[in-house]
Order: sequence, then structure tokens, then C-alpha cells
Amino acid sequence: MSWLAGRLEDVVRRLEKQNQFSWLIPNGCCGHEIKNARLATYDWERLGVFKASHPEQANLLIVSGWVNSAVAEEIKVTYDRMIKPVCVIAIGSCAITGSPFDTFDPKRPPVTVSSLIPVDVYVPGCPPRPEAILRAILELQSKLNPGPSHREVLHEALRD
Amino acid sequence: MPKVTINGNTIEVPAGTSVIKAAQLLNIPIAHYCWHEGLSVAGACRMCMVEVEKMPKLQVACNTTVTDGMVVFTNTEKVKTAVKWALDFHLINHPLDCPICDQAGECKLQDYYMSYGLYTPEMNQPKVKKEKVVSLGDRVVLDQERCILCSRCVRFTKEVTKTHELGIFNRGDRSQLATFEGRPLNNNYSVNTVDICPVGALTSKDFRFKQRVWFLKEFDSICNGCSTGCNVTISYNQNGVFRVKPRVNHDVNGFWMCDSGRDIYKYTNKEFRLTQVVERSEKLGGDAVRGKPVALALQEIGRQLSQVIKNKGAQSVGLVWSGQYTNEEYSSMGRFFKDLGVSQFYHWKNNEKDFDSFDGILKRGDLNPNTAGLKKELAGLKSWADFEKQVSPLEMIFVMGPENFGAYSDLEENVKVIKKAKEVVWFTACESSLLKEFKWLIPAKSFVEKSGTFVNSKGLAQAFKAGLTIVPDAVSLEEAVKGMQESARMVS
Amino acid sequence: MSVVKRPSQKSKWYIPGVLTGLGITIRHMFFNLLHRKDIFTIEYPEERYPYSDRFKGNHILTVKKDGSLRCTACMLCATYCPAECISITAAEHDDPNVEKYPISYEIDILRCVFCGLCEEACPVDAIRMGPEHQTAALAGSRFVYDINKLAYRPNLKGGVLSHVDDEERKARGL
Repeated sequence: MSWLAGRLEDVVRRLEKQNQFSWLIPNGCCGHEIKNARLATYDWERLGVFKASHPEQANLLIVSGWVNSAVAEEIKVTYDRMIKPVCVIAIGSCAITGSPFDTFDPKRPPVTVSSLIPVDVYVPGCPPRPEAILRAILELQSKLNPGPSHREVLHEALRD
Repeated sequence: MPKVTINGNTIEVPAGTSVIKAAQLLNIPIAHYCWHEGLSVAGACRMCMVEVEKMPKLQVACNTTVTDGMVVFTNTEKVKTAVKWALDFHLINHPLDCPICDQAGECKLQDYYMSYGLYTPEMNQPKVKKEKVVSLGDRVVLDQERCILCSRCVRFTKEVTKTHELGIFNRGDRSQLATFEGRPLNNNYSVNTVDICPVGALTSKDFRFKQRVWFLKEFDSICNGCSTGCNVTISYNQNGVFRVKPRVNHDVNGFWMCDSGRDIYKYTNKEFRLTQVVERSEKLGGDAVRGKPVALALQEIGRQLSQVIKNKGAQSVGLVWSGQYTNEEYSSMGRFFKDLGVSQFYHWKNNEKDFDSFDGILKRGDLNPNTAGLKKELAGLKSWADFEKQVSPLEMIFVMGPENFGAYSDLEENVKVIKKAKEVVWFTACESSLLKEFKWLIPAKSFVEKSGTFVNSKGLAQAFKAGLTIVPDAVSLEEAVKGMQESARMVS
Repeated sequence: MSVVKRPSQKSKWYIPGVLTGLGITIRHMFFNLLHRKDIFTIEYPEERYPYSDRFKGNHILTVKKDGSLRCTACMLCATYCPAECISITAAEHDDPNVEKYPISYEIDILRCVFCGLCEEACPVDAIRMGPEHQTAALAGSRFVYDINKLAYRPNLKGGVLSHVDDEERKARGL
């Protein structure tokens, strides 16, 4: 019985690694590009990213848009609610560096996502193309599961 | 005194004033290249055309003396067209060098093109090619194509420095600026030609390509290179100080400054500076410890000072002063120590031999900006010779070290003398490997970071304000006194 | 007088609404199953979307015919950039025809908003916004692109030639 549970656990863990359950904070203009990456034209469900119903179930946090005090609170609260380990993707120059809204004013340093939570992948751009967001997810997946993914193998086989 | 009316504004000026000077007094801009207040009149550029009532043709404002009742117009259509065509002729052979020229942003050709020009050029002949990047001396580079032959630099070397190095050779549109054979432009005032050149023909090798002018901010200050105290403008941005230019002050330096003063900004930038407190003591193993907060360091010094005074008396503490600090710093530090009973004040004169020399134009042998202020604020200063005799029994010495290490060529020998005392606290703006054996090194503020007064050799007190902060931990001597006085008074 | 059509009572019933919605979804599902080629999903990274010629992607620093950078370090791009992401250090070139050149040209790609103002400001066509989309990378990679990455990265196959060629201009005597 415990052997069966152990095997089931292995399978679940393997599936967990290959699929991400994402929780989005699509604040700002980059939110539209996240929507585009999620919907039909550039489908990130092909790559294995599913929507989580609430943050406790998610293992991928996607943040975008300029961080003001309300959003900062939301990001911190959401990140705390998530069960670690969690991967974070920061999309767009506003989230990463504050960009033109916060050009170097020594009295008011910019609030960036990386100052609130540890970020794994950065996607520069204003807003980045949906392909760039998909590239971020591919990079993340190749970091988590090194080696060719099932999707690539399938495409290689189908091409010939 | 003749009265002149320019664009409807009347002013009474002394006899012999030119129209362009009268317009300057009224703050009316007249486009000019070759006129300079400190030089003779050339009338070469033909840009300062003005319309004088009852004169049929336009006149050059620089060479027209004001007569009583003269009415001058600078903004009629005739004047504007004349200025536009004069500018067009200047630009015929001018190379398209704005991206690589240092003068971009403060170039008179650019400025006047935006106000009077904005035309489509109709010239279709090839431009005359001349030499570029000609080294005229140690500090100045010439680009002959960019020169508009206003002859300001030629008149400068003829009238101000009287060294006659530059001249305009050949004729017509082949005219070019060059140095005479065997006479490179190596006098001590050569970089002034870079300041007065209205275009980017003469550029300073020191500032060449370092920074674009519109990235720099400016503030006024006093040069700390010698006791003349020339008024200067310091250009800086968040990366540091980049250059020093002279300001007009008819009582002190006129329009110019010497080349040795151009290097003073180098000692204020971060590369040269002492940025943290350095402490060396036996109980810490003899190695230097950096990074103690300045307030704590000053408190400890104050405590040690009061210990020394209590145990060994006030005559075992000595102070060595260099003439590079402001009046306010001398008076506050001097008063602090006099209250504690210390009276051994020694004056560190860096160059005894040519201390009172003067090169005839601006530079003096006393390379400290405030020796006169030092002598005024602190009475009873003893000389360096006395210090050499009396240094050994001294327990604690405070050295107000020089900021401008270039002026203190005797630093190495004097450091050996100072080492004979037991404990030395050295206030210095600049870092040097010669100073590494002393007990305490406290970072001091350079002259661009503090406000104060310098008294020049003629007794004129000139006040200046702080412009920027380069080393955040640096202290001026007044702040050092504030840091020390609490702990120094507690024990005694 | 206007006639406003309000949603009828019928639309408030649950089952017909759900069935219509589900019907649309199931119709799409069967359509996609049968006509695989008509699906408009672009399968990145195997398929790419064709960008227009003016697409503003990663920057390209153009080169002259001899392979050296076209940039003259005039710093107009750095001045115009609204995000202040370009840092240039100029230096003197030995050849007096090429007096000034950049020894370091860095773009902080995380600050860049890909607005294209630098391309607009450059007087010598030295910087262009290229056709590659903005690349994402893991935290810890270099996000400050230097001259090697901007001018000589492998995608560019040795460097993109600039349209502004000073030799013609000098030959014509300008």
C-alpha cells in the first residue's frame, strides 16, 4: 500500500515539475500581453501552464505593471500565501526597474518587484511580445527540467 | 556722459564705450564672435551689425563708439537678415562635426543658428579641407576646419600673456590658425584660449570627450590653487567634477585663470579622496581599520585628547595648520583648542623659497588659498622650523592636512617629521600611501563641498557656497569640532 | 421617445444559457479537431509571427564597411532616452578622420522601454531597433548589453552595415 502511495507520489511530483499552475497579477499594460499569451493566439497551455484557482495551489507567480503601494501589498500577501517553492516571473520594465516613471531620482528610489520578492525570470520590454513571455516560461521549464521537453520531442517526431 | 537708446531703452555710459558694451549693460543680446571685453577690438566676424538711426548702412557694434543721443536698433528685419548672412558665410566651410565636437551645447554657431538662422544652405561647392586634431601644446588641441578666424586667441596671446604664439596664416578661405615655428602654446594661461574660442576649434586635452556639456551643472566657487583666489565656475554631475572655468571678477582675476588652477578639480573627485575613517592602533594589531562611523571616531578622538591633556598637560598637544581651510574652520577649531588650553599652533608653509613670488599676471607662489585668513584668525602661529625642534615631546598632534597634494611637493619629508610624535590625527581630503602610518585619518571635505570664506593675498575675503557632495562621510573642521567637543569636555 | 430593449425574462433561465454557451465551445472543439491547419494558434517557438520592417526589438549597433562601429559617441541617444538606460564613454581615436568613438556603449535592457527614440535621435544611423523580440532570461544573466552583444552578436552575422557612409560625404567635399 505504501509502495503504491510512493509510486503515485513520484508520478504526481513528475507531473508537478512539468506543469506550472500559475497565479497572475496582471497589473498595468503588460497585463494585456499576459492575456494575449494566455489566450488562443499564443497559448501557454500548450507549454503546460494551467490556471490555479487560488494562490495556495499555484507554483508560478507572474507579476507585471508598475508597483505602487497597493500592488506592493498585494504582491507580498499573495507571495506569502503561496506554498514554496514558487517560481516568479517579472514582466515588463515597470515591474523590473520602475522604468521612465522612476528615472534616477536619488530622493525616491524606484520600487521594483525584486525588492519585494525573489524573482527567477525577467522579461524586458514595454510591453514584451507574447513570444517573449512564452520564452520566459520555456526558460523556466528548461531550468526546472533540463533536457528536451516532451513537447519538443513530439514536434521533432511530427515534423518528419 | 553720452546717452544712448538701444531698442527703446536708454542708458548713460562713460565716453568711449562701444555700442556692444552699452547693449551688454542693458542686457540686450547682440550676436558676436570676435569681440571680448578683455581683449582689443578686431571687427573680424561682422556679426554684431546694428542699425543706427540716420546712418544709411549697418554698423558693427563693437567698433562704434557711443555718441550722445544715438538711437540703435538690434531687432529690425535689416539687422536680422545681415546677421543671418554673416552666419551663413561663417558656416560655408565649417565641417559637420557637431556629434564629435566638444563645444556642442555651448557653441555660438549653434546658438545663433537657432535664433537667427534656420535656413536651407544654398552652397553647393566642396568645403575647404584643413588639418584636424593639431596638437598646439601640452593642453590645447586645434581643429583648423572648425576655426572661424575670429582671432580672439591670437589677440589673447598678444595682449594678455604677451607670448605671441598664435597667428593666422595664409589668405582668403585658405586662412588657418597655427602656432609660429618653434613656439608651442605652452604658457601657463593656454587653456583660457579654449574658454574664449566661440566654436570647437580649440579644445582642452584634459576635458576632451569626457562629458557632454548639457549633462553638467555649474556652481560658483573660488579656486584653491594659490593665494590669488580667482573666481571660478565648477562643472559637475553625479559622476564627479569635470572642469573648472574662470568667472569675471575685475578686483581679483579679471577674465582669466592660470592652467595650474585647472587641475584643482582632480583632487576633489572620488578617485583621489579618502572616503572612510582609517584607524591604526596597537591593540587592533597594527593594521589599518577602515569604515568606522565618523561620529564615533571623533568622539573617541575627543576622549583621547582630554585624557592626554589631563595626564600630560596641554603643552603636549600640538596642531599643524596648512593654509587650505576656510576662515570659519580656523576660527572654530582654533577656539576649541584654545579653550582646552592648547597653544602650540604651527604653520605648515609648503614652499618657503618662492612663497612671495608672482608671475606678473595671476599666479602667485603661495599655493594655499587662505594663508592670510589663517594668520588673521589664529594669532601666535609658530613656524615649521620651531615644529621640527619641538615635535618629539608632543603626545598628540592634529594635522589639518592639505587638500591639493600637487601643491605640497614637500609632503614626503614633512610626513617623516610628523611621524616623530606619538599619536597623529590627520584631517585630509585626499588619500595617499604616504599617510598610512598615522593613527587616525579623518576624511575632510574638499572646497567644493563646504561653504566658507577664503582671504586672498590682497586681503579680500571671498565667500563661497558648497555645490555638491562627493564623499558623504567627509567632515569640515567645524563639524569635526562639534563631534569632538562633547567627549573632550566630559573627562576634564 | 426611445424604445429600450431590455433582456427578456427568458435569458434569465439557467439551462438554455448554459446550453448555448456549451454549444459554441463544443462546436469550436470539433472544428479544431477536424481542421487542424486552420487553427490560428501560433505554436511558438516552432512557428513565428512575421514582424513588420519597423518592429522595435533588441537594439543593433551598425558598423562601417571596415567592421568598426558607426557610432561617434555624440550621446544624443543617451540624452533623448526617456528611461536613461544608455551609458556611453567616449574616447579619442588615432585616425583624425574618425576622431571620436565609444569605448563602452551599454544599454540596460531592463530599463529600456523600446520606444525607438534613440533610433530617431541618432544623426548617423548608428543604432537601430532590430527585428528580434525582447528576449527573456533567467535572473543572474547579464542584462546590461555591451558593444559585443549589440553590434556583433551571432544573429547579426558579423554586423549590420550602416546607411550613412562618411566616405561618400567626404569625397563629395561636405
